[in-house]
Amino acid sequence: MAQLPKIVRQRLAQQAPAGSADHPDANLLAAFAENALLERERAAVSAHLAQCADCRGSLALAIASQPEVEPAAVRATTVGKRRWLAEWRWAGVAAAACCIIAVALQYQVQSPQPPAVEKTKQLAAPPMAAAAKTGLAVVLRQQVAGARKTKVERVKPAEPVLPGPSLLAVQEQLPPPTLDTSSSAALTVRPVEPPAPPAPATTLSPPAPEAQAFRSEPAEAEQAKKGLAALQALRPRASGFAQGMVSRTQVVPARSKSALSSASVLWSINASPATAENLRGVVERSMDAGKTWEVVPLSGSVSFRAVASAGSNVWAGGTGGALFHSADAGAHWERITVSDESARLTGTIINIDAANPSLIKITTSSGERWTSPDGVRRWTRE
Amino acid sequence: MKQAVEVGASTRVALEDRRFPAYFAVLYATSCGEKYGLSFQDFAAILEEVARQYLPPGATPVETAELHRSLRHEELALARACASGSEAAWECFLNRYRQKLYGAAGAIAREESAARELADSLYTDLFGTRQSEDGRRISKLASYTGRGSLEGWLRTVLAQEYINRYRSQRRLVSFDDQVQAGPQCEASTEVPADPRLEAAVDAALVNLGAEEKLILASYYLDGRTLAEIARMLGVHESTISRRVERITASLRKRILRGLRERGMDARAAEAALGADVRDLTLDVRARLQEKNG
Repeated sequence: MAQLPKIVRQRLAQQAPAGSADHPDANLLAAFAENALLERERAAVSAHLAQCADCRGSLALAIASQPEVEPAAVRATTVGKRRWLAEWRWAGVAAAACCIIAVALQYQVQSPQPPAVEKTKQLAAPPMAAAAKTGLAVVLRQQVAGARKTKVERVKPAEPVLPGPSLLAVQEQLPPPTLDTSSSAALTVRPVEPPAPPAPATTLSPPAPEAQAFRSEPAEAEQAKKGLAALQALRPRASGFAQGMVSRTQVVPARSKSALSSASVLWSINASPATAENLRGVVERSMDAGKTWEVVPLSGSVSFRAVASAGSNVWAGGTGGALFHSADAGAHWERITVSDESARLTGTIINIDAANPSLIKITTSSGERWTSPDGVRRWTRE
Repeated sequence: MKQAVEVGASTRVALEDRRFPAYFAVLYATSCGEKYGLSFQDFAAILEEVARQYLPPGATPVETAELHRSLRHEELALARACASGSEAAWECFLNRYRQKLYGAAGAIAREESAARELADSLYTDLFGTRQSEDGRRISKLASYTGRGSLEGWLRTVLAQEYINRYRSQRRLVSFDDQVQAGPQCEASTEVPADPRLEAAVDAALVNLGAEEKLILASYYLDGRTLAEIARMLGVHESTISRRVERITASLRKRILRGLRERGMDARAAEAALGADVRDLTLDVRARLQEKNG
C-alpha cells in the first residue's frame, strides 16, 4: 500500500476537529453503519468521522462487536469467493461422478453399429471443472452413438477466471440425414444470441426457460437430456449459472465476478471510471459474451450495487432505495418506488434475487427484505 | 401486496384522530405500540420529536413522511415503551436483546469482568435508576430514535461507553508512560516544515471528499485494516484497497502541483514532499546503543 507522507498525516489529523457538541449520536452512527441514512446525512456523518477519532473508534468497535461482522454488501462478494473455493473443492467429486455416469450411459445407449470415429474435441476452455468437460463428452458421445448431429454451444462467461462449468446448451439440428462422425465439426463456440423467449418445448427440470436451449424432439433427445441433466445436477450451485437465475448481483467493481445473463446480454456492476472523489457503482452491459462492456446510463446520482435479470426483465438497484426496471432487456428503463402502505425502501439495495421470476427479492444493506410477485408494482416488506 | 395489519382499539382511535397525518395511524399499527402499552398519542409525539431532531425547521411534509417511514417503528415503539416503564415491553426487550447486549460487551471489552461491568452499567442506564422531577425513571432507551436497528444502537452505545472509560483510564496512566519513556519522545515531534509545503498539503486535503478523508484517516491515522474500513463503509475490502491507492496517488499529485504553483520547480517539489524529515523513521535509542556497543 502506498505510503502517505508524514506531513500529510499530520495535517490530516490537525484538520479542524469537531466540537463535542457536534458528535453524531449513537442513533446516527448505528444508522451510518447500517447504511440507513439519507445521502446528505451520510455525507455529514462521514465528514465528522473524518475529523473525529473518537467517533471513528466507537463506530469501528460497534461494528467489530457484531457476531456476523460483515455487512450484507461485503457478504455478497466474500460468500462468492467462498463458493468459488467450495465449488473447486467439489470439482473432483463431480468429475468422478460424471465419469461414472458416462460409463453407465455408454452401456445404456450403445448403438448396434459402433461409431466409426469417436472424437470429442475439448473446447479451448477457461479453467473449468473437469466435471463440465466430462459432461460435455457424455453428451457428445451420446449424440454420436444415436446417429444425431449435435451442436454444442458454450455461453462464455464474462471472465475465464469464473469457477465452475460454463453453461452448456445443446442444440440439435433436425433431421440430420447422415452421421457426421467428426464431432469437432459439430462443435461450435458461438457468441451469445439475443434473449429468446422462454422455450415452450423441452426444458430441463427445474424449469429454466433461458438457461437451456434444448430444442429437440423429446424422444430423440432423451439420452442427451439425461446426460445434461445429470451434469447439471452435479454442477456446483450458484456460480452465476444457477438454473433459472439469469444473473447474479455483485458489489461494485469485480468484473471477474460479474453477473451473467442466460441468453445474450450480460449484466454487471462496476466502479465508475470517474475520479476517486466521485466513485460510484454503475450498471454495465455486455452484448458479446463479456468481451466488451458498455455503461448503461441510468442515473447520475445513484451508486448501483446490484443487478439481476430474468429473461428480458432486468432490475438494477443501488443507494437511496433506487430501483430501476427494464422489461425489454435494457432498451427502456423505469424507476420503481419500492413501498408498501407502511414503509418505503430508502436504504441501499445490495442484492436482487430474480432466481424465481414470480418472486423478486430485494435485500438492503441494513438487512431489510422486500419481495414482489411482479418486481414492479406490488412490494411487501418482510 | 398489502401488508395485513391487525387493527386494535387504539388504532381505530388513531385513525379518527385528525390532529396527526393519516399515515401515523398505519405506522402505529405496524409498530405494535398497542401491544407494549404505548398509546397512539405517545407514538405520534415520538414521531414528531424525531422529525424535529433530524429535519430542518422548514422541512416539507413529504420529507417528514419519508423520514417517518424510514424509521424502525416496531423497535422504536418497544424502546420507548420500555423507557416509559411497560412491563410487557421490558420482558420482550430482555428476551430479545439481553444476550446480545452481553455478547457485544464481551466482543468490545475482550475481558470477561470488564465486559460484564460494561454491560451491567449500560443495562442500568437502560432501565433507568435516576428519576425525573415528576418521579419517572430516566431511561437511556428514551434516546433511541429508530434511525438504525435497536441492536446496532445498543452496540454503538456500548462502544461509546467503552471508549469513554478507556480514555479516562488512559489519562491516568499516560503520565507514567511519559516518565518511563523519558524526554526524548517529547522532542521528536515538533519539526518546523516549509510553510509552502504545509499550504500545499492543506489545499490538497480541502479538496478531498468526506468519505475519502474518512478512509485516509482510518487507514493512516487509526491504523485500521482494509477489512475494518470496508465493514465500516459497507463495501468490499478490495474496493477500499483500490480507493486508498487512488486517493493517495491523487493527493500526492495535487500537493506537487500546489508546490509548483507556490514557486518550487518540479525537482524541488518532489524533494520537499519526498524528503520531509518527519518521514524518517529512525530508532534513535537503537542507533545510540549500536554506537555505544
